[in-house]
Amino acid sequence: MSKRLLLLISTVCVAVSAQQTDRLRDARYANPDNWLTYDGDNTGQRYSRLDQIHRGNVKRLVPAWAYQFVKLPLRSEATPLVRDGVMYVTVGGAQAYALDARTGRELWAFHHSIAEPPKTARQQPSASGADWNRGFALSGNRLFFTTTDCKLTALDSRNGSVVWSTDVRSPEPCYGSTGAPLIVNNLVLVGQRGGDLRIRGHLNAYDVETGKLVWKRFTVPAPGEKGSETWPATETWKEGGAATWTTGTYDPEQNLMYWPTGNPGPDDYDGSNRKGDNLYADSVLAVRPEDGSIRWHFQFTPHDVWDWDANETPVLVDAEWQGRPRKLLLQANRNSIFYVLDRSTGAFLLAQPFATQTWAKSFTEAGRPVLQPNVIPTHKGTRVCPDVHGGTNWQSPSYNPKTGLLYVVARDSCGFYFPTGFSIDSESQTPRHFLRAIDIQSGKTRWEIPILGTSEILHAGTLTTAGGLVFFSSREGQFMAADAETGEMLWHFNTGGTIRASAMTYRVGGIQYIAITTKGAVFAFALMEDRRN
Amino acid sequence: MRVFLLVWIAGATALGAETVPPGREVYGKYCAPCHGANARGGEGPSLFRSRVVVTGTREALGRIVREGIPGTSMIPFRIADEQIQQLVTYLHSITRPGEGPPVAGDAALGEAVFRKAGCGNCHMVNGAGGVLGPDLSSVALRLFPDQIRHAVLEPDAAVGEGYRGVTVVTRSGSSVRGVLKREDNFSLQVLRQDGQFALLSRDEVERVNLDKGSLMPKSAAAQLTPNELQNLLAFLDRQRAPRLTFTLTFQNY
Repeated sequence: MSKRLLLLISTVCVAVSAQQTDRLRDARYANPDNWLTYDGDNTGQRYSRLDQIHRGNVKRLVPAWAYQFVKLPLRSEATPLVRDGVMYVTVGGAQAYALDARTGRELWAFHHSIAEPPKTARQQPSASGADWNRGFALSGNRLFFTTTDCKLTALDSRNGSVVWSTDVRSPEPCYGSTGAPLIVNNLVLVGQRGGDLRIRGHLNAYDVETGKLVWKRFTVPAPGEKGSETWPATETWKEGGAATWTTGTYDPEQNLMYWPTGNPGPDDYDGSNRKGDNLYADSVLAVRPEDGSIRWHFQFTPHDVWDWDANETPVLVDAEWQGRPRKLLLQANRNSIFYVLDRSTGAFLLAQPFATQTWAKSFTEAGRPVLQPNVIPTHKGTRVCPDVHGGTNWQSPSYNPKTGLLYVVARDSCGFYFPTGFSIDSESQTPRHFLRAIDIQSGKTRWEIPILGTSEILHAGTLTTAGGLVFFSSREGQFMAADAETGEMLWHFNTGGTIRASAMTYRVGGIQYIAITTKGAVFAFALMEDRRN
Repeated sequence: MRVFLLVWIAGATALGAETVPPGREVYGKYCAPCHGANARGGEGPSLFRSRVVVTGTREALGRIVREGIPGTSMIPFRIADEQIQQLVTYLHSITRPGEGPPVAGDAALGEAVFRKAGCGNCHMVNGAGGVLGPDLSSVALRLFPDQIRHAVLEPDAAVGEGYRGVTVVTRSGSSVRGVLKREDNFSLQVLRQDGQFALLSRDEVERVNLDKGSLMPKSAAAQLTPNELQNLLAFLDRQRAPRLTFTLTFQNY
């Protein structure tokens, strides 16, 4: 086949793929200048159609502005949102700002005073919640975010005033939420954290206008409900975990949301009192927005005793799959396996390791893992790869329809597992981090970039753009860009502070910016020639 | 040194249940998920950097375990008081060197051994000495006596972050010898043997050869008589200069 023909075919494929993505994208996210959800739109792709900054000019990317936080939060995990030139960003768990996205000048500030959360009535730890969150959701003139005292709060985007504030705990104790909420139709969806704290996981849907609870979907079934047969006939299910602590995705064509869940409980590494698969822990759930019912589920790690939450982004992609168009769901899971599912039916299509793993021997036709021998935690310690922090974690992957690659911040590691806990096996193998580009058709890694000088855990994610770029970070604050096709490192900037967030991009006044949150500041970058004073 | 301690604790964990103190079990169940199996941090902070753990009273630490720290991820743990006491004892035992009886030996003679063996060429004590190795002015507050002994006798067992010997060969053919302070995808920071920093860009580097062992010669201790060694350990055990900071190496990311 001639090169020209190949080029033509690939161009056609890309065009088809781009059209498919356009259909999958909710109409409200049609304007690529804006970045309106945690992942940019409803697909979880973290792909921007902006291409002003591209592989040919990214070397001229320079800081346009920085906004330094008055009070240093424990963590900054938020992705800023931008609409019509205004940036909205949460900082830690209790601060939020609106900024002029061209200059970084503050438009309003919101400081929430956190009351001490009430103690739980039950004889178990009451989580006060984490003092960070991952950012806003936006609908109309309302910004929604969760705070550490178990509140879902709606702010007016024009002045930062509280429109309503709802207590999300009732009737459970305060577990706290860290994920950015997701808007689906007239609902704001809120997950909760605390999967290791003897909770029963759930997903709540609130009315955007009033803040009233519309429905609540427990992620661990009660006795008699479908899935309850995967729990012993005891009270264990009440503390069954399956937390919903990250942000889900949404397919408007099928009107289905995809929400991932965390590890089962009550004891993460000792499964003896929860024999069975422990649904719907470590799963992705296809949920109907109208009533919270579950259309289908897929469980990645049945009866998990390694704390491998499946809360990584379920990325929605419409692409050719073995010769025909198919609605896909991709997930690079904390258990080191990359999965492809049919998101209409939940059918299993592919499982392929993308990071060091020694626990799964093979997969059945239905996608159930067949375990290697000697992987269950013992008092002597059982060595399994990956370690408890996993082959990846909540840090955002991104998918570029022009390359067909999923970009994942991966981690090669091994650990010892005990029924009471874990340790990292840093003697025989220091955990190492990589940006890996996974070919979604084969699950094979096309290329990788080692991320050097990073510590044991890296929670900085990725962004990919139509400019042929993928942005990623080191924990220590190097913000980097590579060629999305080849993995060639093209650009970097040392922000000088911890990065545990994923980048986003937007355009104002015809100028494209790339932004990232670090521990102490938001940085926005633009091309040298476009930088404003 | 810090890496050594980490390895030591991880090793103790891997050995199994027979020698595990009761507080270790409590720690593994409730604390390790956030603070890490070796208490040096995971999602939560390292307890070796916690003032209440390292310098506070038993009561203050017990109260935090029981009541949590409002507004943070440190939740209250409703566990039996006996378990809390076991936990506090365990945390003190791993984080508070320098509280036991002094190590036997003549510290003044040990200081002479320190000089004679050339330790001061690389290690600073109270403002005097070399800069390639860790400052030892507060070593007895950082390491337990058996850890100091091990570090003296087996310097290759573990080399702390920022103290690994390295030879960097540049594209121009010159070579830089020193300790690797930091590195990332784009640059290396080397402290040369002459005490000057070599700040290198990856572009100018041909290869980086990291030493397998420590720069510290194993032979130094091997040449000492048992008496000399004991006196040296006594000298090191007296090095308890108040720690001015808990951030002993680089910023805790």
